[in-house]
Amino acid sequence: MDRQTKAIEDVYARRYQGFRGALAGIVGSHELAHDVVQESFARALKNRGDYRGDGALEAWIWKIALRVAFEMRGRPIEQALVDAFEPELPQPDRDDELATALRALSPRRRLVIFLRYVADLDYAEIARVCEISEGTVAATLAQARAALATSLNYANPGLHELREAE
Amino acid sequence: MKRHETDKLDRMLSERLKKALGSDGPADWLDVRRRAGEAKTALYWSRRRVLLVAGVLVLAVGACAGSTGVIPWLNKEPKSVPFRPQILPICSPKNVQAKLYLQRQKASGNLTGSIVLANTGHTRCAVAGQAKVSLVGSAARATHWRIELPKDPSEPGPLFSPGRIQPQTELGMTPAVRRGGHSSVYLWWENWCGPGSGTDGFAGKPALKFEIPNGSKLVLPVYRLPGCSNSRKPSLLRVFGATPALPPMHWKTNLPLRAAIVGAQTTKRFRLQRGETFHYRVALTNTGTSPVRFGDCPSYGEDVSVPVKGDPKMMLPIIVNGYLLNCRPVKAIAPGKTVTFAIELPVPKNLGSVDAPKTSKFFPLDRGTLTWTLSTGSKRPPTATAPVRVDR
Repeated sequence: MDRQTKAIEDVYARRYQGFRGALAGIVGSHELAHDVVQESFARALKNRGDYRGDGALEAWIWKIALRVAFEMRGRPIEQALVDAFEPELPQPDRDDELATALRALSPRRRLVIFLRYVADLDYAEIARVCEISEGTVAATLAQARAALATSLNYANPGLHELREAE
Repeated sequence: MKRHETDKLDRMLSERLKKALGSDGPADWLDVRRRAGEAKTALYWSRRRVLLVAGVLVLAVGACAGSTGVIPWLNKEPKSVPFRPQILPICSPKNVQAKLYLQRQKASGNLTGSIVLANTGHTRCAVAGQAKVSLVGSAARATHWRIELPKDPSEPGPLFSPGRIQPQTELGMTPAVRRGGHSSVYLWWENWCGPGSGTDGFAGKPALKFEIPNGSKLVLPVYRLPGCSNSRKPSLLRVFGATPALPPMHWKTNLPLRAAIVGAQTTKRFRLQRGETFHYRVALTNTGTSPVRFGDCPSYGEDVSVPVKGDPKMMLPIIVNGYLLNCRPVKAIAPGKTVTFAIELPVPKNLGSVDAPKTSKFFPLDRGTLTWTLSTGSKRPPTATAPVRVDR
């Protein structure tokens, strides 16, 4: 087994649940999310020669995963990939309050929330996956986090302070 | 606010989201390797030998079919096509679950949404007939509203081509039994001037009562209400008929075929004229290393769907057809070869004209998508799409 294959297998072994969880929110079902994960890692394996090491391997696979998720919808893409999904909880009745709070966010903010808090990607990785700047990620996340904190009655650090803290 | 406080908020959000999105799903690295074509079994190699011989035999046939140009269209509907009526038992009320989803349109404050129906039982079943829909609760009693349903139970919506949709809608199976999807009833809701107008949350909102002739009486709490645009007029909730669930798929097989609609461009739309037949061509390319042979000719499904205005994720099918693929002249497609089929799409004369122009305002007919899918019974059937517009 070559080094690249081993590295991809390591990401799969460590991060399968994170991929599946975040993708379930993005594609709307756990079953489909599993399929997207499998197909994404299969493509990563097939095209491992294309990975040039200029960024985290996991972010590279995530980029493939978003593309696979989009392709599985079978519709032509008419906007940027970051705006192509309408993520939400596949089983909103598990946490009605959270589902309602998420629905109040724009689809782009929801996607960034899922990538940050479920997939555990850092800002640079989210920027790479979504093809937006790190500054946009930080601002989007800060706004989304503040909105969620308000909706869920968590202590809200406030936008300005959040930016300062970061 | 200090760093540790934002960290705490991050942790809380992360834990709650992971809990809401978590599920027991086994990782399967071997499956990944198989999909990548890197895990070959003894059976694979013995099959390869057989297919190699078969390949030599069919290569000539495939190449011959390719050289004859376009395979003509076959005006024949298969015995069993996607979305065709089936004689299924009526779902027991206890096995029908429903969830309500509503989305607000930014500009108008109107709502689009759906009631997603699922079969929670362990056998296939269907619902049939006209649903009864009403609003219940004190907010509903205090407000003037009316419900508009499709006139004919067999007609899922005013835009559907009559006679093409079954009067019986099979409900999808839940993921727990790993078969199929869900069935949706589309909603359009405008002008709520009663309590809770234009707000989100459950307090003070009416509930939507959805009764199906199988005896299911489902009361769905409404968490979002449309804004008020004219207090003299009643609130209007339009309920479109149920779209059928996709038929159960056999998840194991994948044909190495890529489908493309010839001449499809993302920037230019094909034009469909009402009452005329739209001619197009579908190219099937064998992307695998073995020939693809057709036994009995497979069927294909074609649909034209349009987006619901303000909710681009929601697509409403306005034409749904199923025909047999004219595969007899081909028999097999050799690796790397492409065979092109002529396809005809009859466009109904009255397409989109019922209830127009108001309906077509909500469902823009000039931004449709034509989707062609080969019914291979596989998880990822060869599918091709093209942007289309229906001329008014």
